[in-house]
Amino acid sequence: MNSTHKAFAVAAIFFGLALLAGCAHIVDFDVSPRTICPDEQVFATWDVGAGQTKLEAKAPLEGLGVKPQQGRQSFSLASSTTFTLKTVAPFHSEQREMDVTVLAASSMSRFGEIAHCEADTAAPTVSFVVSDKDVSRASRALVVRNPYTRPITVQKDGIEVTLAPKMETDHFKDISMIGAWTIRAAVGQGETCSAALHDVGERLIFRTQLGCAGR
Amino acid sequence: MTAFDQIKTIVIVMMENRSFDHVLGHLRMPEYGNRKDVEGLDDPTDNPKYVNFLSAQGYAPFPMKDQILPHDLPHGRDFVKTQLAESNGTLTMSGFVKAYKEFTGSVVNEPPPMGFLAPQDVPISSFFAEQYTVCDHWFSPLPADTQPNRSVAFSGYSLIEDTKGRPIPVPPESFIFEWLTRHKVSWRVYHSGLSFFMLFQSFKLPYWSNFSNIRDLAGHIASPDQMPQVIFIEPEYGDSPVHSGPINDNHPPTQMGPGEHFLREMYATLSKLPEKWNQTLMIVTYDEHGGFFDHVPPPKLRTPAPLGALFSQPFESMGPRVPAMLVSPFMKKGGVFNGMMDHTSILQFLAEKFTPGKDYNDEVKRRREFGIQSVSAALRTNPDTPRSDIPLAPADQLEGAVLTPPATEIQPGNQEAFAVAARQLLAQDRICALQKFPELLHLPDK
Repeated sequence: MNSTHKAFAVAAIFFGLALLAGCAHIVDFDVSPRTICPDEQVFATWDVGAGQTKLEAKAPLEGLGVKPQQGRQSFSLASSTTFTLKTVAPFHSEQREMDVTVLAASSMSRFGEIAHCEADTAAPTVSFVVSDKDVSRASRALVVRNPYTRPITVQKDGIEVTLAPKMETDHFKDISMIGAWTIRAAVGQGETCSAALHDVGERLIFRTQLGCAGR
Repeated sequence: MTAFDQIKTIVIVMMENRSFDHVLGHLRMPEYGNRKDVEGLDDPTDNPKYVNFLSAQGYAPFPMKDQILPHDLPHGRDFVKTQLAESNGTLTMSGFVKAYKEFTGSVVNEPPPMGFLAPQDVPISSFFAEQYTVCDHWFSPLPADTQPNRSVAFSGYSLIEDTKGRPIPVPPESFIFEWLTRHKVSWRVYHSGLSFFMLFQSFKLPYWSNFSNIRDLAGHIASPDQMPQVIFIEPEYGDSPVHSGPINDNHPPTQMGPGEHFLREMYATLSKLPEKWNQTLMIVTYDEHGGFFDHVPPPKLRTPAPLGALFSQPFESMGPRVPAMLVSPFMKKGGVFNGMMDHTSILQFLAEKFTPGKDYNDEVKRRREFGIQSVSAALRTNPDTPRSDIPLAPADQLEGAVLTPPATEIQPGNQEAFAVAARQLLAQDRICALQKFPELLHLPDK
């Protein structure tokens, strides 16, 4: 092999390595549920196209560090943290972050979605589903609060509560957060549904203090 | 003589990628000025009307420190559509967190798109708003990213719907340098690093004689020479493939400190000589919202694809609001202009000033007829006598004013566009190119 051939071979090897190393690319990274009760487990799953893969967290947890390009791992958490998946390759690096909230006495959240009027004589309504990918099955809505200056009605699992403006209820504290919820806003006398919808900013939410079953 | 007539120099500074609420939403908050005349944020952390959604969970605006962010934010056409979140014909402005998840793959309790800055993090923008006039309904002209919006800013039209590594086409005779030259308006660009203007297909070699490095601005102002009628001031762009100084265009993920420092310096330089400052109007605005939340739905101005466009789907609305400030001795302290504006408000103003009775072009006219107002409308709400005071900008106390590391994630399309333009410039006249931009020595080979 003469020197020209050697140079070509070296270049080809570098090119091949670069291709093999490729661009770091995270195909998927998830941690669920993202809201849990203390000492519950979360599952981290990841799939990385290329590059060295590293799983980090702000909390001191065992089992972090360099990982294979695909994997799934559970962690038991006592406090909230951020998981970060990093991939490093010669030409490109990437990272994604996932926060996990461990419920504490003061954990306030909002739930809701964009609302609709079925007809102008109806009331602005929204239905949405809270998934166990997002919130632990053990979580409970200890308090549900109406943030509006008009009454709203909140409904789940056969329980329906009408909340006066800015008022709250504990009627949902014994049922899971997981599942389908409905919120309906009251319409004033002579007010159309679309006017009421506009007044609530086209969306309906409730604020809630989340807690854990049996704690 | 009216203020309009007395203004002899119009200075245009266009920064990058921040929304009105993100930078100036604080003006309305009781703890930061309580300016109920400004359409800023009302009780942002508790206001249900601002809540954005991801998987039925709600995310409210939150106070954010100025910082290097982990990612750039989504602001391409498809992502802006997600952010505007149209429902039953209404733009609900509820999809900023969803777009962030789709773009970055990250889910965090305080998603950066929902962050708003306090005055101490944007002291110069806040100072301009407090001491001069803020325009609180200045929208980016298109719900898209950098190149389409800058194209409208500097030609009235956009023949593109996205930001890519190619020269930016504009309809004949509409490019701002062509227009200014045709109407014998004197103009000059003061650039920090590579100039965005060289990305335009209509850019011509002779224009370089009207370009100066930003370091020359102070000397030019101090000289007895007359100021140009129109001045463009450009920051150091983060998307540039080579740099001559710290990035200070405010494009995430870099922080705003360096950009605020840059604005402070420009203000100090321009206002140094009262006799020249008394004839100057500085317009500071942003090309687009950069993926940050804004609560005001953009007006539904439909913009069909112009003749020769590289896209076919019309834009159904304007883009989200951006910060805009008018800084001049003719602007009263604490002024606010609530009229609807966009980047063509500047082109309207130039046409009123230099070709009275004639529109800049048909697209600027169309936008005017829709209700977009000229900068002159804001000027008319102010006295015709220049202020005698020149308020001193807050001292430099920003951590972010130090040299910023290059962005970890840049817009590949825009960086490629800069690189294409730079290589073309080198090919045309290497010596001249390196004299103007010594940093091009470090431009990587294709």
